[in-house]
Amino acid sequence: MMKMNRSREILCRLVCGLTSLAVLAGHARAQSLGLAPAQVVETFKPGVPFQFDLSTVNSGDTAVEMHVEITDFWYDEKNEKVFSSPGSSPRSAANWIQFVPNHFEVGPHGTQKMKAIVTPPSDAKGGYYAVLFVTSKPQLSFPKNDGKGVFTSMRIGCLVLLRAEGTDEYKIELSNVKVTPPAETHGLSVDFDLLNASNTHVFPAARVAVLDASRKLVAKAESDEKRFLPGQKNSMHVEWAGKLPVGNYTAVLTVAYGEDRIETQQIPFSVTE
Amino acid sequence: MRVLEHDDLRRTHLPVVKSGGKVCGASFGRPLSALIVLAFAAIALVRPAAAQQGTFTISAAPGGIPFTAGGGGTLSGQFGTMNALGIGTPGTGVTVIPLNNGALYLTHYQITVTGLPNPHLAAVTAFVNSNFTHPAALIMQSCPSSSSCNASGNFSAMSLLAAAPTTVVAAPGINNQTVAAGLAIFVPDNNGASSFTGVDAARITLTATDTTNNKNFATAEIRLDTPVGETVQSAVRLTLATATGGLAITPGSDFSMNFGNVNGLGFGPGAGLTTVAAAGGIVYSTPYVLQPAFGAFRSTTATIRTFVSTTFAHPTILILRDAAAGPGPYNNIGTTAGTATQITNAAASRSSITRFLGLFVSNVNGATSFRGSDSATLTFTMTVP
Repeated sequence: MMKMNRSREILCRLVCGLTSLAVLAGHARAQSLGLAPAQVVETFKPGVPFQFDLSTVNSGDTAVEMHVEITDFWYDEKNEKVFSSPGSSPRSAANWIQFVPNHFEVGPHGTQKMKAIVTPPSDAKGGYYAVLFVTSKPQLSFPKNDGKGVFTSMRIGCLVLLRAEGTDEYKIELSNVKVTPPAETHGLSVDFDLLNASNTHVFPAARVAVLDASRKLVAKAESDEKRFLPGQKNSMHVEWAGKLPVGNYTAVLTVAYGEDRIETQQIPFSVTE
Repeated sequence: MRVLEHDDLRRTHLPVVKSGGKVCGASFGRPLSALIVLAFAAIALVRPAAAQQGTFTISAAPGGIPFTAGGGGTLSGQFGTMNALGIGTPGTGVTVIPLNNGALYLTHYQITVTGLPNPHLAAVTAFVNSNFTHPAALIMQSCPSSSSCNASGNFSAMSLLAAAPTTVVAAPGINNQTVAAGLAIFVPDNNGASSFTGVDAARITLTATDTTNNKNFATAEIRLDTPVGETVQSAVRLTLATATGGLAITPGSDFSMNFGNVNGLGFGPGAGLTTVAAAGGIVYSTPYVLQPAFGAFRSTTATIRTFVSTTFAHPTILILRDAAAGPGPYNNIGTTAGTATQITNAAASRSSITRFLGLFVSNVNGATSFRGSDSATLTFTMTVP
């Protein structure tokens, strides 16, 4: 009996060991590509070329052939990012950017440094946008056996947001501002739509202060920053998890954007339960 | 470079000896007293108090950051550009160690003690006297001289308090010699409200103490602000890995999954494949893992999309499909970048997303049927936010 248990134990250990090895081997075969920086926000002087560096890393065990692809960066009606061909979107900077090198091989666990050279036109005004994709190049030609092969490549994007110095005009519009008073099952929330009527990108952040009937501050909350390209309209949301006693209140919504600009609105509301 | 020394400690003083209620040296009452005082003075001049001796020098270590000496016992330098994923070549003299929650950028420097009388020893401590203005993005770390300072485990956060400094050369200390210690900046993932990209700076004060008499005899300052300061940049990384029980992600110049022999009836799926019924054919499915990582973004989520950048040569017989779960539902993957299938728009950094790739095989017979091998390319795109 003891002998059988011992044998089972050895067998179990062997199987567990093999399973672990298989799992480890599988993950060791992972492929991993990285890019830094992954977002470039720069101000430029119209007509004056400038450059910035990027690095890509191959964390895999084999060399990877890569190339750089530059696309436009815009948004659709659902506020999804759109990466279209250079020059096909409004405010495209894709055709201004040249990459050196734009084809290269990164060795196993290696790094490749790249230089993006930007040549903006002298009549540039406001914000311009592009995405720099570093793409691993698939090799479709190597022989397969009988099977159906699926090759995968990766594209890692660096968003480029450029602003022509001294030409930016800022304006945002808030609409559909709605306060949901706190209740038993939820906290207080403020939702609104924000239209970026600027000619450049903004990263607005919303803050809400709640004043009671005697104008005393009883609650405050803030949202994360959100990126808005020119003309983009999207919703924002601020939430406060606390409870308020029955009474009348005022929510003071402040949206900070641009360098030092703010937009405020006061919204009265009541807590009845 | 010679560091700032406490003038009051270095100065050689005559001992203060009282005689007849008066301070000797100010007035000598009798010749005998004068002789005694002179004798003491002579002894003091020949053998000054040990704590009043010794110098303490901080300098660049071979292979470390090239510091430049400034006035008042300061050294200036910088680590350079850094990111939480450790991507890219670090600055001169800096080594980067990617960790599972950020990246550690480390360097070495030298501490030289000279002029201490035997058998006095010196210990050295450090603290951050002027911390980074974005302390959630950059964390100063120190490694003691007793360690090799080549691994992340050798480093710990440096104290921000003068009253409780971090040990660099532990007591009882060293005699007149040069030792190496480590200095590092930890760049955590730090996405969200506290995220930061840009330039920041910090200053560190090092203090040498004579452990024989427990007196500080010198200080030095390292300024990490020259010529620019420490630059934090954003970074992204996407890893495509084999899922347990799934087809192996083959390490090649690209990453291939070979579905092996497949047919429209789903007979005999290979290891790592399962079959799922589908109208007009069968779906061969395999799990795989996507591991996004990113740092220094306001957003705490990333978007991952995929599209078939090169379709099969027989696109009506073989179609790639995607599903969030093994049983499906499986949807055709977009065939252009513009119609890419969104896998997620809420991928957290350092998360593992198991996804299922389906290969639909039509059971069509006749002129359009196909037997043989074929291949397609699937491109994964990751952007933050």
